[in-house]
Amino acid sequence: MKRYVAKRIAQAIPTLLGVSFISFLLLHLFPGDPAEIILTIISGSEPSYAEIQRFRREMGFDKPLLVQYIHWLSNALRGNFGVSWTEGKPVMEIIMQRFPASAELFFTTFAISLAFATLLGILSAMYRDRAADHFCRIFSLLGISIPSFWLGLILIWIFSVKLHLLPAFGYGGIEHLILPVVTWSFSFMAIKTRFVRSCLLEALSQDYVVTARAKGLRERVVVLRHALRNALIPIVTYFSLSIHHLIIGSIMVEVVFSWPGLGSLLVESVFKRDFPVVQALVFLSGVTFIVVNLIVDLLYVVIDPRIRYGD
Amino acid sequence: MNRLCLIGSTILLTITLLGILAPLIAGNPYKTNMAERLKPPNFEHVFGTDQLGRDVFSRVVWGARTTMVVAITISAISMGLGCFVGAVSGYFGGLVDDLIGRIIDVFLAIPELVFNIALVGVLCFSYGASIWNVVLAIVVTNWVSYARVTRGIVLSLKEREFVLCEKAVGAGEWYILLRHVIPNAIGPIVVLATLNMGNVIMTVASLGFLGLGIQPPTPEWGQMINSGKDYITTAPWLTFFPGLFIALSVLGFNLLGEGLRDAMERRSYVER
Repeated sequence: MKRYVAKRIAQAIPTLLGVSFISFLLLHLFPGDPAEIILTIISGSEPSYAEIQRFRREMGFDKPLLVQYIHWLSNALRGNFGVSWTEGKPVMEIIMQRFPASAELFFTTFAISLAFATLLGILSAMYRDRAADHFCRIFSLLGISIPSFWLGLILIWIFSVKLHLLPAFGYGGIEHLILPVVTWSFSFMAIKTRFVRSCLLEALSQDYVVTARAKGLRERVVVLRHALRNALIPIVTYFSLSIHHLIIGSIMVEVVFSWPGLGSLLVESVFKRDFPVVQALVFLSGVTFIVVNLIVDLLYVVIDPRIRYGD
Repeated sequence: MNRLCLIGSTILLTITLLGILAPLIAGNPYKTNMAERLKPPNFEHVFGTDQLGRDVFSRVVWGARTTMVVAITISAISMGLGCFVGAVSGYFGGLVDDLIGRIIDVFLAIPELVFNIALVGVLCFSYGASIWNVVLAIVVTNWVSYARVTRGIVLSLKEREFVLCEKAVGAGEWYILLRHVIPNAIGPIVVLATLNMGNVIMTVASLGFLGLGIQPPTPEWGQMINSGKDYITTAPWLTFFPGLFIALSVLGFNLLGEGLRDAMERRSYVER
C-alpha cells in the first residue's frame, strides 16, 4: 500500500512540474523586453532607460530563463505569486478574497447536480429505451449543447426582466445563487447523468441481479438495493473528479451573473493585463486537478477492496 | 442510417448551406441604419435589428460562415497535429512515448477554457487582436484529445496480425504506420472529430462572448450576444437568435457524433 501511494505521488510530480513550467512561460511569450512591458503596464506611461535597467535587476529578468523559473516555482509552491500589476496587492490575497464565492457556487451546484444526475440516471437505466430514457438522453444532449452564457441570459430575461422574481446578477443572499446554480447545473449534470445510467446498466447485467430477480424481489428493490449500491463506487469517483472545478468553476456562468469568483477574476485580469494573476490562476487550476485526481485514485483503492494496488 | 445521425446532419447541412449561400439569402451584415435601431422581429427584418440598426438575420447567417470556417480550420490543424503526435508516440513507444505522454498529462490537467482565455489574453496583448490568436489558443489545447485517442488505437493495432505480417515481410516502420495503422484508426477519429467540432464551436463562441474572440464588426455569434446582452431588457432578440444558432450547431455535431458512435459500436458487434 505504501509503495503504491509513493509511486502514485511520484507519477504526479512531472505533471506538476509541466503545469508550473507552462504557467511560468505564459509571462515570457511577450515579444521584446518583459521589464519594459511590465513597467509600462504598472506605471501607465513610458518608463525611462534607467528605470527599466533597475526593474530588470530587481525582478531577475537579467538571469537565465531556467534560473528565473526555479525562483518563480519555489515562490509559487509557498503561495507567493508576486504582486498584482494593477492592484499593488499580493496576488494570493486577491485570489483568497475571491475564492469563497467560487466555492459557494461550486458546492451548491455540485450537490444539486449529484442528486438530479443520480435520479435521472436511475430512471434512464430502469426504463431503458423507453420514454423516460429518451427524455434523459435529450436532456443531457441539450445540457452539453446549449451555451451556459446564453442559457443564463435567457433565464435572466424570464425570471428577472419579465417576472421580477430573482435578481439578474450580483452576490449576496440565496436569491442571488438560484439562477447561476440552475444554469451551471444544467450543463454540469449532463454527461454525469449518462455516466450514472451506464454504470447502473453495467451493474444490472451482473449475476447477482439475476439472482435477486429470481428470488422474486420487486424491481425497485433490485435496482436500488442491489444494483445501485454496487454502481455507487464508480459514480462517486466520477463525481469526485469534478471537484477540481472548485477553483475555477464555470467561467461563463460567473461572467454572465457577475459572480465575484475566480472565473470572473480570470477574465477581468486578462482585460486589465494583470498577468501575474492570470498566471497564478492557470497554475492553481492545474495543480488542483492533479491533486484531486491523486486523492481520488488513492481513496478508490481504500474504498474498493477488489482493486489490487500491486507493484 | 440511425435517427440521431439523420437529425444531426440535417441541422448541420442547413447551417452550412446558410453559411455558403450567405451572399444570396442575407443582406449586408455591416450596413448600419440609425433610423431602424433595435426594431423587434418583423417582416422586413425577421430577427429584428441591433443597436446600430443592422439586420440581425444577415449577421446570424454570415456568422454561420465565420463560425464554420474558424471551427473547421481549428479542427483540421488540431487533428493533423494530434493524430501525427499520437501515432508516432504509440507506434514507436520508448522515450518519445514517455515524453509525449507527460506533455499530454500536463495539458489535460489545466482546464481548457482557462488556458484558452489566458493564452488569448497574452497573444492579444503582445500581437494585437486577430482571428489567428483565437485559432492558435484553441489549437494549443485541442490537439491533445486527438493525440490521446490516436495513441490508444495505434497501441492496440500495432500488435495485430496484419501489422506483424508486414513487419515480417520487411516493410519500413513509417510505411506500416501510414499505410496500415493510420487507415485503421480513422473510424474512431472521425467520431472524435465530429464531437470535437461541437466543443470548438462552443469555445469560439465563449471567447467571442467574453470579448476575447473574433472582434466586431465581423459577425460572430458569441460576440453578437456579448454586444446584445446590454439590451436584454428591451431587445432580447439580439441575444436569442445568435445563441439559438450556437446551440443548434453544437447540438448538430453532438447528435451526429453520438449517432456515428452508436453505428460503429453496432457494426463491430455484428462483426464479432
